[in-house]
Amino acid sequence: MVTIVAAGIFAARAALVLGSVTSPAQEAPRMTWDARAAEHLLNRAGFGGRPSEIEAGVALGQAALVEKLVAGRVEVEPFFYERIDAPDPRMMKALSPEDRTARMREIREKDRRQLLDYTTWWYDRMTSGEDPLRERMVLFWHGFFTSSFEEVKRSWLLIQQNQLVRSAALGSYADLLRAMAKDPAMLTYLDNQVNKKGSPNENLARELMELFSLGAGNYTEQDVKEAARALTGRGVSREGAYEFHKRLHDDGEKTVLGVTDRLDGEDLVKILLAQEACPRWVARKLLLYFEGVEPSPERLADYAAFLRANEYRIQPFLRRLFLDPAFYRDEVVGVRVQSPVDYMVGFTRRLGVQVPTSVLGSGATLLGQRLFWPPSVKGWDEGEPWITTASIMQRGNLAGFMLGLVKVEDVLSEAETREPAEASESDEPPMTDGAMEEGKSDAPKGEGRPMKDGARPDGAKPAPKKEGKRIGFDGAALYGLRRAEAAGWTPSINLSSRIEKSGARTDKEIADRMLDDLLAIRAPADTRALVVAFLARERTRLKLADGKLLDAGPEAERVLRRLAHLIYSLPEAQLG
Amino acid sequence: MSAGDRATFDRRRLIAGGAAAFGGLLAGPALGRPGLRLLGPFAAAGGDTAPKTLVLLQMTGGNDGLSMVVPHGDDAYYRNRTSTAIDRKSVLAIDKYRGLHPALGSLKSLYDAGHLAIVEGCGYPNPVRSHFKSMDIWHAASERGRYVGEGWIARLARTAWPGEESPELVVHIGSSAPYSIFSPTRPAVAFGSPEVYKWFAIKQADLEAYRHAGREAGKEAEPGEGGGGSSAVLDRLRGVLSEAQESSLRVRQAATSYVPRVAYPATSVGNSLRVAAALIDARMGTRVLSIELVGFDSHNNQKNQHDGRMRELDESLGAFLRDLRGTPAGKNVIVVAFSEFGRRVQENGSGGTDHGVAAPVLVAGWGVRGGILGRHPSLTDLDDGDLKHTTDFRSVYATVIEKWFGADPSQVLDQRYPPLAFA
Repeated sequence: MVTIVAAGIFAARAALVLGSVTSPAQEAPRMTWDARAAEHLLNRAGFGGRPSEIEAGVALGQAALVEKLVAGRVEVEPFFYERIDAPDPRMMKALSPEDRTARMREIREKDRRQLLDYTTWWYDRMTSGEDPLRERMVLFWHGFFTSSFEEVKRSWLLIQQNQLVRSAALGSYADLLRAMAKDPAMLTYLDNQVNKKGSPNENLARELMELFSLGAGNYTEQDVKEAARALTGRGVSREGAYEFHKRLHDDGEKTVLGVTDRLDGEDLVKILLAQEACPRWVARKLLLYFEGVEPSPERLADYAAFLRANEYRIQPFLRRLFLDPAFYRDEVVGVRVQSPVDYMVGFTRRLGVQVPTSVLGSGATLLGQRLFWPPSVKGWDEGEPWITTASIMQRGNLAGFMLGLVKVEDVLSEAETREPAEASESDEPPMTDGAMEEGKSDAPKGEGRPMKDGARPDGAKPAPKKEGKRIGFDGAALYGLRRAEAAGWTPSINLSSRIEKSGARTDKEIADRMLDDLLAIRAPADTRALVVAFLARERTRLKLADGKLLDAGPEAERVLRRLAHLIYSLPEAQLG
Repeated sequence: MSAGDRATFDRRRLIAGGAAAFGGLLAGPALGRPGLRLLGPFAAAGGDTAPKTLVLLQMTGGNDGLSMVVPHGDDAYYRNRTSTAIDRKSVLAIDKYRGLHPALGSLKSLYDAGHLAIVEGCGYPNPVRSHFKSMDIWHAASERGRYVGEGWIARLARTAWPGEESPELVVHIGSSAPYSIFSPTRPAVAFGSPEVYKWFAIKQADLEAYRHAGREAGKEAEPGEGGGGSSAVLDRLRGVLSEAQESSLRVRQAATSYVPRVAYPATSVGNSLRVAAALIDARMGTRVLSIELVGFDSHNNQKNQHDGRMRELDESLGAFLRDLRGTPAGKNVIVVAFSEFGRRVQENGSGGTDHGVAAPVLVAGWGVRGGILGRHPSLTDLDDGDLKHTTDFRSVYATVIEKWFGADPSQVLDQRYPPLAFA
């Protein structure tokens, strides 16, 4: 049975319930509201801004810009998803093993494609810049209350979960916690299906405390055991809806965090929300995410108290944070390592170039952040852990790809995309299986390796050998890049005309302009000098005087694109 | 010395090492491999010796230990296993009770020669049956998984080689780096294949020239120009990038010029082990290499799938060890092959096995003392259908840390685990 459900319409309601409570202690912030501050706010509350947007933000003023961000735009084009039902076990039993495998494969294929479509939709939301703070918070919650397709296996349950955080992104954390404790994707992901009276499974109970509300050290193992009993019976129907199995629920007396009663799941959430540790945990997560540095104990205590006083509502919390002069201190501005999603989305936003969303998703995946595939229930480790010797180089290479200067085959070898082993016969999706499976039907066939000078051979090479079912991480990552390349996508940018319009002429002026346009941070003096040195050398090669680079026409465009590639490859471009 | 100076200093040192290796490689294989060795960075210190090195071979997906080290003398095995069973006649018998999977011919020879240790029944208390969480526990060497904040190899590196600055001290060859090598302070060197471990933005020499020009000009710039907050993070990232560029060059040089003594199978794990041998041979200061063999999650029609994995394991590991045999590195490389868990004793209804608990760890190498270590878990005294682990896997780690590398296990592991006799 196929049911079409409109999601996203719930988002419209979310804004209505958001009041605005301002702490009496909060006075007009004393700080300089300038381009540095406005850019910082746009980086952290959204995915970065173009120079024109930064200027507009400065002109608008801090209070008005913050208000615009936290108010948000809530009418969203809905994503229509299909409920893909799990096969009827009786029907499956009647099939031959081959047919059963084929049927499972068909369903999984459909699920993967739907999730890929939704991911594309999500990236479109992020790049559009229409509701930047909501998108920022959706990404935050996706890492906070995370579930993985690897284990959930049903695309629409994850889509539903994502729509839930989307609608409540700036609403009440308390509501979200309550909803997550019965969210079908979460119940599946954390095995609550098998949490039954007499044979409890502690997975959900533990993560509810450790990751979703209190943090380790604020409860005992005994609390986990008892909380698991409170959650018994919360399951998912075959149709994918939340279902409470009264028979499987342990109705006996339990003691969780000092409260003794015949507790159920709702009681448990109430107990968690009443803990001192809860607002502290959530406030710390938010401060850490938005500021990129561990808050001082005083700052944490202050914000935790504020969160509690505002009944866990996120909107007033963020309003207060974005108006807080301390949010703009040197320790915070420009020192956070951008996540892969930030890097990819920020690239298109700052350069103002349309990049196919499949490329953005593939790029972020390649760099270690694949939406709906978190590495663990803890989500992604933010900050410097994103950077490895390979990833820092691949970031630059991806920028080169998006600038039309680097080919897929240069970035990753064919060998990486193929697993030598025969197809797995498993009923479970294999460990490293990825979206690449779609590649079987419409991945470009017969792609040849580009010649050294970038020209491509005329004759197409035979298609790569049958791509095994188990495609590695990089296989999934490559798919979107390949697809864009096969479709003949090239970025439509004209950097020389932009520079021309801006009035920059000398090496120094062009360097400043390019760095200010492309970086999310103010470039340090030595970086500016480096870029000037690059331009001077290129100009000398073209035998042009300083101030005459643009006279070189197409050559000038090539120089500027290579410069953009260089800038995006620098460590400076990883910060924001 | 400022961070910038230090980075430059390190870079010079690295360039020197790289150039030496390159010099040897330029001479080509005709010059003979000993020539290359003498030019390597370790030559001065140790002559014709090689540093102790660990190769971690991760069998991802939950390897069915009972199909790898087969308890052919146990009727309970044949009672519980029908479609996945390895029949008595084809088992490569080690003793009356156990034997190796028939595809593990090379490993059997290695065992007979006394250089393969089988550590029985490895696991940990309160087993987790999630691939990821269990793998995290193996990587972190702690039930806390990723919450410990650092992988066990990163802790080992910090403890055992505190002053070692070679970027290639710990290397993962594969698409995504395992948590075991994650360190919050030191970037991991990880690459899928060496040919593409490179940066397209600009030639390194040019970048250096521009940076130099930039530094010169920077002296004249007014203080405070630019700005953008703390430069500590930026300095660290610049360090990572220069490490990456150096490492990229050296890794590619090492891999492309390496001439193995034996043919490696053209599989992913075969390629990875060939690259591992190249890095070991190039003496880049690598002490830990991590490699992955995937495809062990055999819920369904296990036999074909698992047979294939065993063949891959044996062919690639066999080639690697033959390649190293007789070289200075040969006796100094230890391979530890592990999986996040074993599988349940009883087959499921679809010719496969579901996620289980304990499984043997293989330890191989020409410097390894072979044999059967630990006790085989009972196939009848089960815990809810699962084998009860008889050896904590951290005993394997503790042995590697203490006996192999001579480091203090208490700095790496949360408590003492009895060492094993393989080293």
